[in-house]
Amino acid sequence: MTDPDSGLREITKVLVANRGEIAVRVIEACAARGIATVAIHSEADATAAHVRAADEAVLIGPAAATESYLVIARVLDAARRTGADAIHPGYGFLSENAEFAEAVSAAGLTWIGPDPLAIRAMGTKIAARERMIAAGVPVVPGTHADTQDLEALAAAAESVGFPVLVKASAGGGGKGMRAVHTPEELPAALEAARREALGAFGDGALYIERLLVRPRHIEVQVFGDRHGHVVHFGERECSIQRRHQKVVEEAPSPVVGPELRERMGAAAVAAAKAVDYVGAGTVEFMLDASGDFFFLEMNTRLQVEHPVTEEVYGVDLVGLQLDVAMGRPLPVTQADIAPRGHAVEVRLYAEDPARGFLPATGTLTRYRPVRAPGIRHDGGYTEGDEVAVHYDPMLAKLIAWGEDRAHAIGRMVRALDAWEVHGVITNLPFLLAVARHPEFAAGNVHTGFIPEHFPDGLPEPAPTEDALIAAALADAMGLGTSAAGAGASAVDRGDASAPWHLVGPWRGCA
Amino acid sequence: MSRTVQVGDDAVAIAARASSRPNEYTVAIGDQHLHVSVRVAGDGTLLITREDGRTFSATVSRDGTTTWVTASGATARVREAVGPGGGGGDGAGHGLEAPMPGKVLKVECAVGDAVVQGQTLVIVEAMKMEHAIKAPRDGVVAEVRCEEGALVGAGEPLVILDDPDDAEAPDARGAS
Repeated sequence: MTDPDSGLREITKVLVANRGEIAVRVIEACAARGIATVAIHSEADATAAHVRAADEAVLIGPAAATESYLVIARVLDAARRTGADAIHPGYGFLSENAEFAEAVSAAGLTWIGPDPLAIRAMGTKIAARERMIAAGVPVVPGTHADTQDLEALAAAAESVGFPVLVKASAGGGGKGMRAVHTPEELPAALEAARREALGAFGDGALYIERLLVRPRHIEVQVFGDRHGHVVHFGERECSIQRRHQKVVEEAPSPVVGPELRERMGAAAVAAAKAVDYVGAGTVEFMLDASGDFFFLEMNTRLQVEHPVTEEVYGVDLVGLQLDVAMGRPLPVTQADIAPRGHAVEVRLYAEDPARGFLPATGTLTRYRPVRAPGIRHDGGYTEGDEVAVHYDPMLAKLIAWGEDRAHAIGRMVRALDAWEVHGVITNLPFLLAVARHPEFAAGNVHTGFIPEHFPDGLPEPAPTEDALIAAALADAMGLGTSAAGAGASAVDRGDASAPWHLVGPWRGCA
Repeated sequence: MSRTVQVGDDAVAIAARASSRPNEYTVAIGDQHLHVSVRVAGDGTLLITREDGRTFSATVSRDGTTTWVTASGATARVREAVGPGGGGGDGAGHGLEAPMPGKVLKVECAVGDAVVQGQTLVIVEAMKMEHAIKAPRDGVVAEVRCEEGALVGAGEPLVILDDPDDAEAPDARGAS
């Protein structure tokens, strides 16, 4: 319902145009406000966690995202069929697609995100750079080719000077991105980046910028409403990355004090205001060793790592997105906003640190995150779920909050230790190794942290003697073996609901 | 029941046998014999008490022949032994297998090509990321078993290099 006098636009049912942990997160935020939810899903996700979490769900196509989650007409059709009055895009997929935002509004639905104009202004990174230069926001030394042929790009790289970073103009999440150290490596890198960019975003346009040495990747959370207010919720440090995919994030940054926070925050707010930004957005900066920072890009959506900001600032950013989409003014001013304590987030990926971080698939035969004070788990999978090859390998995020950084890291280490993830190879041992690393404890993080400290990934941990004892006992006690009878076949298939049916007789002996 | 599992680079036989007393077992790990008592909690957790009186908890689940164990604050796969040195074996074989299920984006070699160690032979895409399948050693391409656009399963051979023992030219670069 729209009230023309107040400009308020009520939202009663939200369709979440996403999957995995972020879909679950948005559904829970809606539920917390008494708003009904609709999930959309592909054939591969018929029983996925986000489908179970929502009030209703609509099948929108086959497994390939290009035939389901990325098809605007099917998403809108699902909204029509279920009577949803708003759409939340999550991150990835269609979240930064201005055409989608326009189509949502044209269909008479509320778009929970920034205006298409702002998405467009920031979505083309080439144009965003120029707009930021005009707004007086510092940018990374770089250039772009007017044409996209390989020779023009090579010439652009020469003028910027090696090493350079090749980036997808429409990109994000490290896709379509390549670090290139010599001119000889350039043609292959351009070709691969273009292919990845085309596959991921349907747009192969590339640009080139100077690769800063040992920079920190720091981003500022901004939030705007429809009444001209823009505030920032401080910075997140996202320096621990692998191939430009973030692995560990934290807030605040160990190197940003109140004075630098204020300067970066002001630059981020200026960037957002330059495009009349509404809703949650993130302005990414590179901070070099001398304390200079450069605008990198603005992500016109909720960020994967938004929980560390939420924990430190005591704010529900998804809830705020709903409020702002309904036309309400921000309930806070900059003066009210202050960080408290420290939060660290790690991303659990289905990938094998012992084999070059290759993606892994399988069935989560057991999946139990830890419940403990200061620990938050944002997950998209539950025990028994299959991790298939179709989508992003991120399974979940674990966030630890503490009174200070050491406290948060200590809680994180304990929570990682006890997180049970069976059936799918993940980077869990690697996350633990990073969390325990003395350089991480010292706050010496930079974007080269992983290649420097873990050049070969991490070998698979050998089972301990205790683990071998438990495995031998499980064999002898018939836990999950065919000797145990009728239930065994389900167990052999890795059906997580089944194994402990077999435990019954042993409990009787205790 | 005994089986041989991979522990680092070694193959180790493990077995457990119930003793005459309830909840008590003798566990063999290689040559070592340990006496333990075990109880199963309502949620399926094993509580295992070792001879020194220390009790640790463990959870176990199955994934084919692999047992996943979380015990004493660490999760590990206990999997069938793949032979001595099998823990990190790499590059010794003739073939290059798909490391994960995915789609072949590009085949960058042809039968008869001399390739050098580290050269990209095939590019596979999975979970929206590209992965280069590189030559583990110098050699000559004997067979290409995939084509661009094909879906491949984990472990499926994509390219076969010549047998290094047969090759008269130990350095393929010199031969080309």
